[in-house]
Amino acid sequence: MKQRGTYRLALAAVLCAQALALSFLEGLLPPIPWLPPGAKPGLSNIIIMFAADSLGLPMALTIVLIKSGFAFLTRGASAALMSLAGGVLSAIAMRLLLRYARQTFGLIGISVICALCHNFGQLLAATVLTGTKQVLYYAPMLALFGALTGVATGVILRAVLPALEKQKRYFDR
Amino acid sequence: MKKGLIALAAVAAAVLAAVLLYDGVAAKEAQQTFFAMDTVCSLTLTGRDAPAAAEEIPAQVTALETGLFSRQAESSAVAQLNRSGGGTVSAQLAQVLSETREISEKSGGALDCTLGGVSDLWDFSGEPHIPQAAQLQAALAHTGYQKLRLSGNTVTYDDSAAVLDLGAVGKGAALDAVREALQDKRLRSGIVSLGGSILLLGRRTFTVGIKDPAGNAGDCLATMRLSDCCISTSGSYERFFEENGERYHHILDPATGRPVQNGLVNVTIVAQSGLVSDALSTACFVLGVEDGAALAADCGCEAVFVAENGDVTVTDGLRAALKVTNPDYRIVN
Amino acid sequence: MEHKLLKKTDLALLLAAVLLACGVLLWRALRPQTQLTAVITVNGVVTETVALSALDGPRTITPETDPPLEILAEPGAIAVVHAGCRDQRCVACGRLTKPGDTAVCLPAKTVVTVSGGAVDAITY
Repeated sequence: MKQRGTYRLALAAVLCAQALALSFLEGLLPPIPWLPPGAKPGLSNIIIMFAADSLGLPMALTIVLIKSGFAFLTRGASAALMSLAGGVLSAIAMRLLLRYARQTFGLIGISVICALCHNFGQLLAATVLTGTKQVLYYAPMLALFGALTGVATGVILRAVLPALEKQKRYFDR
Repeated sequence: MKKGLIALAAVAAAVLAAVLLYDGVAAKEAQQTFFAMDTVCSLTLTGRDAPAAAEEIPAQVTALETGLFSRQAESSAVAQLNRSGGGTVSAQLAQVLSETREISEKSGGALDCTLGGVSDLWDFSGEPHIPQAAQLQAALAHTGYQKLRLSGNTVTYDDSAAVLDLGAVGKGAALDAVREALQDKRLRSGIVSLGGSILLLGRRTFTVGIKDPAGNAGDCLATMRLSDCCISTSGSYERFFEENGERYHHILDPATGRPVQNGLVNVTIVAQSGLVSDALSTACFVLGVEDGAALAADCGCEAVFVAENGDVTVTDGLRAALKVTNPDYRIVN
Repeated sequence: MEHKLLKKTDLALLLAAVLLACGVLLWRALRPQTQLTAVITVNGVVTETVALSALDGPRTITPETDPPLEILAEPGAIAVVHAGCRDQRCVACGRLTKPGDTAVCLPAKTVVTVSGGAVDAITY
């Protein structure tokens, strides 16, 4: 039992590293006009989605926390808060959907909802940071963007799922 | 499923394209800025007939100015009346004169449209200066709204030296005429400003700012959310000059023939009729806060009084719609 | 993690999201345009209000922020032209010309927004 916990932790660490790598890659993208600062495709959601399913919500949230710590180190406090708000909201949404709405939605549907939650969380954070409601102006653009990236992450998740499952099996003892 | 996805993408693209396309041609809107009545005028109309209607208005306003209201335009009806000391006027001018007279009566003479001779002495639109007391007294002898009598469409001057001047009601009366001209046009909404006297058309709620006398052009001390009405302001900062360290502004007290000194800087009136709002803004400025508020209530209009010290007094019906935006001012009643 | 990629409900969801977002954008585009006013907010406090429609020339505004920002107001438009931060996202927003257009600089906690609802006309 104790050993199993160690394996889980090791898997979490690997997933965390992969999430960080993806969010670093995302950071290389140029800013997208007409989207609020800090809005990103959320590729690392692929990993967090998988973690939420295989390791449970606490572990997924831990990864989100570490990821925002990484954002804090590389891009400062406001970026960290945006990352945290988006990540927490989408991880929770993901866990709930995977548990209760598996039959209703396909992978694309789930990842679209998660992407929208992610963006919504970021917007909320930006609203708090700037102290103005004006940021909500971006909501419709973000929703379109979220729908697009949600489809993309869903498709990518499907494509890399075998690899992730295989990776997970190394730690399933 | 793949088909579904493609269909979805197509729908999304089509909607997005429609949005972008529509952005350009949305809600036919027309704007005009022009000079008339000795001031800057502007208008924005929306609706199917907006472009055509917007084209017509500048000419209409100019025609009203030169044909009817302007004492300075030689061919105007008012100038002719002053020259001939009475006569028959158009139904439109008779209507304006009778409405003006009614407000003069209600205000106890605070609005007096026979002040032409007095304001000529001050010459605010030319080379303003303090007139000599004797001249002022002489000119004052020929003022008084009662000296002009109207029966039907016929105007008679009891005092042939009285000079009719519709400066205090001209812009408002022009707004009423513009509203009438726009009545049968297909418009969704519109806003017409003749030198700060404003007409709001349609069901749309507009935000109208009251000029901050201490600020730059474009700065407001308060805003009001209003629809379908007329708004006029009389402010002591609009035309003035300084001599010997004293400020002399263009709002003259009919009783003394001198600029009103009662601590007010501007008075804004919200009314259905343009003429009433324009006339009352002057009358209420002359009367001051208390009597002015009573007059506004008597005429069924709302008013905002702004004092030099930043005190704002607003009538009850306007309180909810008014928001003071400059912290230097506060509502005191 | 066995799962189907796409179900009918997914399509419905996507359609709803896209239509809703486009609806809002459309509503915005259709909204009557009025006098433009730019509002600059630093840390939730309005530091400057510029009547863009009333400007007759460009005007540079430098709110007291850290990192510093340079904002250029012109007749009918406002833009963040220089930002002392790394990401330059507010500069990337370009010229703001329509009511609702907004540029946000998170490091400087500054929001520049264009509002048409500010004042439609001024009575004087």
